Amino acid sequence: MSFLREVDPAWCPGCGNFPLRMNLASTLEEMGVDKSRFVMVTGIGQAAKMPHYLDVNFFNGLHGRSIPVAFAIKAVNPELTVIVESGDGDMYGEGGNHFIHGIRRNFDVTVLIHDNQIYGLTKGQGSPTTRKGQKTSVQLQGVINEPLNPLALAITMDASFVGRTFIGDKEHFNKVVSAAINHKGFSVVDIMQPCVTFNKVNTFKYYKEKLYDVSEADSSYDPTDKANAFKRALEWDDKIPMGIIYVNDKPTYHELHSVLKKGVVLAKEKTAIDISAELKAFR
Amino acid sequence: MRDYVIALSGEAGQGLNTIGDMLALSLFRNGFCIFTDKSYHSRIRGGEYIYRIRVSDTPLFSMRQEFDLIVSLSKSTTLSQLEYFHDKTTLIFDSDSDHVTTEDTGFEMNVMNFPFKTIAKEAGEPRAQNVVALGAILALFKVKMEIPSQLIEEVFSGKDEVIKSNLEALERGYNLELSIDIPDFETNENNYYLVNGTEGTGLGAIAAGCRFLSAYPMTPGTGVMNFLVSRAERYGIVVEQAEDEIAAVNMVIGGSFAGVRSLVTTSGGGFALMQEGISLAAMTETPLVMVDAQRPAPATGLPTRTAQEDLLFVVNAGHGEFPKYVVAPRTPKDAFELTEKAFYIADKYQIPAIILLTESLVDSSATVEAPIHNEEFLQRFVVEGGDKYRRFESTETGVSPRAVPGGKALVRVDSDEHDEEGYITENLKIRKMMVQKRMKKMKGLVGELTAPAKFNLDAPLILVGWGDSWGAIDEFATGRNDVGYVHYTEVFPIDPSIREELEGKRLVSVEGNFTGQFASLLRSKTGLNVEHIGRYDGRPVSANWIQKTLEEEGII
Repeated sequence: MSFLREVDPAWCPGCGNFPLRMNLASTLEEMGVDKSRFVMVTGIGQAAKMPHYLDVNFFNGLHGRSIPVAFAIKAVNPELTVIVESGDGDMYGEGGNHFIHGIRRNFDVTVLIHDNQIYGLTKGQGSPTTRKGQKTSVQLQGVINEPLNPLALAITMDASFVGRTFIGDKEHFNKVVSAAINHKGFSVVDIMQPCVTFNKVNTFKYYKEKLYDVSEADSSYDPTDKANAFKRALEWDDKIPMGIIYVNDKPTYHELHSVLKKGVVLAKEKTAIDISAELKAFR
Repeated sequence: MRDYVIALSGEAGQGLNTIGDMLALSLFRNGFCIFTDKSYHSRIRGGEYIYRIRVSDTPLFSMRQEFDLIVSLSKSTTLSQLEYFHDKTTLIFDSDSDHVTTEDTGFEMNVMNFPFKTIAKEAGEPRAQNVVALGAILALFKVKMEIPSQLIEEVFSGKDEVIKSNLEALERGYNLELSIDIPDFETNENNYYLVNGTEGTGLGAIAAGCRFLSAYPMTPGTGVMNFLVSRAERYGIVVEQAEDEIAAVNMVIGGSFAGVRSLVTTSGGGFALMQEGISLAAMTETPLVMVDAQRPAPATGLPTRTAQEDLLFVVNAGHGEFPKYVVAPRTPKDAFELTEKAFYIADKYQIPAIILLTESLVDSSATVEAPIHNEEFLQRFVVEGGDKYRRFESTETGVSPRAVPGGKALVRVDSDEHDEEGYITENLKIRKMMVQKRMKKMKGLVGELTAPAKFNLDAPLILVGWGDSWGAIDEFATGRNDVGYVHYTEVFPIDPSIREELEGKRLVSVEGNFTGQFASLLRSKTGLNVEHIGRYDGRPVSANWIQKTLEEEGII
């Protein structure tokens, strides 16, 4: 079952979103995901256009607000596989509050962040992950704010799955993203990709040279070791860690919620509730 | 119309709410008609707290501001209320805390000091001073002692010693045998219910099949969330406290998109944060039902007071142009029925539907007939779809077939302008068609409206009102042959055909705001000239206030 829609995506030639789209579609196909029970939720930005170029159910909502929408879809219909697709501005900037509280809820969702460390759709402003000193269309003298470290933030908040991958390594992408989708709980995958038009620093070559997989580098790497995972997450300048960085198998929102843990699918419940007995309490 | 107003006055934290509820419920269960309200500060302890109960022979839906009987536990609170005393007001004061004389009140009136705390102590429970007062008042109304006794047993269920001492305190209160003249109210063979606006709205939502609610706490809108969560286990409802109002509205849109009737509740400031979400619901044609319990604004305003200030804001909420439906219930019964209708309209037209409440409506309990559940309002208008399914298919009515994800059709929705399939488009012909498609729904929507309440339209002066001012307007106009009224509970859209009935009459809108927002809305939709009087001191309009203000303005 192909997840690709026949269409000409409105991204710049050479954009990292092209290989990301192909990698994602093949990952979903290889996993045998049931298309009718799959929903993609996105915000706004170049990354958030993704579902228009796939053949899926989707809710392409407001800038930064994909996580609350995804939460409720999953809450009322746990039979759906829900994926949030977002960019570094959409998720870590506009949607930062929801990112934090989504992790706290630990509902079963996979959040894929196309992190190219720049704003694309609004033309080259610094994003929350743009490194200090980088000159942009607005930060003319270079960025002076500290960059947001998504992996460290997610681990600090005890997200139940934290990973990173690269659009230039299809096999690695498939490994990390499929593990994230299979993981029960809030899964964060920070996806490194170049913006060929607006980011001349974090290029394909830049990522290719610096990225390394934590468990390939160290066969004894234990993703359940939170302190060690956090230490890895802080690495950047010389080497950038990727792979399955942190995993904590803990109960999900559905498993803890007093109503949902009974396995109820609200989207399939009949709506009528007889309240005549309830009214008697007001006599 | 015979009536009698009791005020319980003290500070927050003195248990007045509990005792007020018990007093109200006892009077109601004895067969009297009552209406309550609460006046309090935005704090948990201290400050002034007034719980008022108006007793009458037949149901009333507004408060009279002058107290006939005030039972007070705090001297400073009592003396801050002097403007509501009249020369026949009786003041009962707890003399264990202080002493009040006619020198303090500044005029001759009936002041009684009783050592409530000492009496309670003798009964074995020093904290039961309120229960002594409760007994003393209920004895005046000849309420059978079994009624409050049963309530005490419910409230302190499982604590036998506490029940025993409280029942003793109650009896000692009854035995005080105060000598105060109380009208001999008729008792009804009770087919009534005692419901406040919060409960009416919450019950309506449950009856309509609402199974998901998200909100960020904000007074006075929090009550509806609390009500649903108290029934969540019983009915299988998911209530999620969101990190902010933006998350709350987006969650509710998500729940609705996935096929479940969902509700978001807030007050004005939170509603302001939700506006982009309203626009999102409009563009994605996702049913969205919202509650805005109004408080005086701007900004944080007066959190625990009442106003009708959000009307034009709510009617115009959300950027861009799209249809929406706005209701403003006049009573708790209305709140039930209009909440059900709001879910129905939101589903049928795939638009935002907003329930505008006020602090006074949500906090006031009224004696109402049974709310009428409408089975038709349970229709969901959801289709199964198939391979060729197009979420935004162009139709005669502007309403496209709505499927939900997880079924036979792939459902695609976008906040960008989109084509019939739901894919993003910049084709301007499609854009124009989509605007027309969405706006076409207005026609069907106007056909769903019920006519406003009308009274004595032959009178030379016609008052105009909306929402919970109805009780005061009706009370004022009833029995006068020179005043009629037209009163709206569905405040948007407005059916312009009302113009024919009202043309040439002097129209004065009575509103809980400064600028006369409904007057201006009605004027803009009908071309009628509508004057207004407005109350904006944080208190609800009352019949007396209407009379006084119309006189001051030279209107009557």
